[in-house]
Amino acid sequence: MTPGDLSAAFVASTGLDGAAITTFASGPGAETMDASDATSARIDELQLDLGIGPGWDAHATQASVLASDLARDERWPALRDACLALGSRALFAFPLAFGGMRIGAVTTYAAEPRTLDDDVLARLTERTRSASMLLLLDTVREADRDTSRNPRSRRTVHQATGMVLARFGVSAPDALALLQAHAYTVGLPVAQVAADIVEGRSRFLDPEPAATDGLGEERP
Amino acid sequence: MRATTRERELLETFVALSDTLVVDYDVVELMQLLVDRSAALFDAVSSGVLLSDAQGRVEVLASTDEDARLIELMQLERGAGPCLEALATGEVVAVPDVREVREEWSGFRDQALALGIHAACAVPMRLRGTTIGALNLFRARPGEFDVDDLAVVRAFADVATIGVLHQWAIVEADAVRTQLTYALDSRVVVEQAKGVLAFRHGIDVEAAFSLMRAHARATRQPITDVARRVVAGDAAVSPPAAD
Repeated sequence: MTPGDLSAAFVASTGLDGAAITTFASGPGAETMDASDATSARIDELQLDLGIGPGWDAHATQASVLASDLARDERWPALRDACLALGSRALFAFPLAFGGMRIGAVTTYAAEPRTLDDDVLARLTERTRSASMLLLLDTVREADRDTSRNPRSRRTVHQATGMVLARFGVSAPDALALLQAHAYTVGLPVAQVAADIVEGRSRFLDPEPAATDGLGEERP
Repeated sequence: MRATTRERELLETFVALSDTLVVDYDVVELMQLLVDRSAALFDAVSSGVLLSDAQGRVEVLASTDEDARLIELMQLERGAGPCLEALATGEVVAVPDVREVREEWSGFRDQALALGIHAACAVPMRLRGTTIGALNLFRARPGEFDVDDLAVVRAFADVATIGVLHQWAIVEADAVRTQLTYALDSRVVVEQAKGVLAFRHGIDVEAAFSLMRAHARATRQPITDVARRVVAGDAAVSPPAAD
């Protein structure tokens, strides 16, 4: 079993419409490990792009985070509007931790506002335990690997973060924040902005005033 | 997720293990559960977990039976048997037929046969290149270990690794959090370092990766350690100077 199979367990017999599994490393290292459908994948991308959302909160508080009617929820306005536009009207996130070790979160959505009864909540909680275990196993097993095998890895974002930190002489978290702010300003996903930077199509790293030779220039 | 019976048994084992880890956890109890389940699932007459401490001392942490000869068998020093071989090399050491081991292992052979053991398999417990122990299985009949079984035994060895990690977590919470975070974000840092080098030297990310890998090899360091330093601003990793 791989992290690529994990999200489906949170959809089966829970009445939920999708689930995404996220790992939160220190600083800017969050990754989507698995998503059961395109909407879940997109919601998780939004959470990671914006740096806010129920998954982050579940991870930070180590408690479930329930937004049963997203339209009337004021916690994450930017995320909320994007989720509603995607047809997701309820979000529920649960921490993934094992024996006190925090790993990540699972974020589920429903197309209509709904509450989760005790039975479903118990089932979901039960599933977080085996998912946490399997994620941790995967982490231990993959720790020796240079390159992630996760097809959903945000490796381009990490690469662009490195370029931004080298260009502006800031820390990795600050470099990611710059990237996120830039993406938000131009209204594109962070991954898109990052790909443009890594492939040399963006002027974001240009010295000021904009020079003709960009990326290769040695700075004094 | 469609699970086979075997997978279901495994998942049950994982859940049982996670129960052990959550409530009043004791590392020896966890290892005991692990060796008992391993023996049952993989048709072994005996099973045991060896752990190496920071000083390099090796001890049997749990075993399906307390027969001193079995404990001794697992602790035979490196070069004399498969268990410490796995610990020393970090590789799986399989002995499909005890009667056919090389001469240096004759002590192991005789003692194993006296215990009714005809096949053995030692699987290392690894984290980030460090081998902290080994999970050992002993069978009554000779024969190759099934590839799928071995994959599962590896998973069990990983569980044992987590158990030990968790034990460390109780003793020293920060240390284990660092280890785990390190494991979680090591590949992220490698990607960031590619970006740093690509920008700094005006090369593409693949070339940046080659550069970093060459530096890691030349200086005999793990690539993640090199990457960490690159991201922190160390300028040592650079292309060969142009003449």
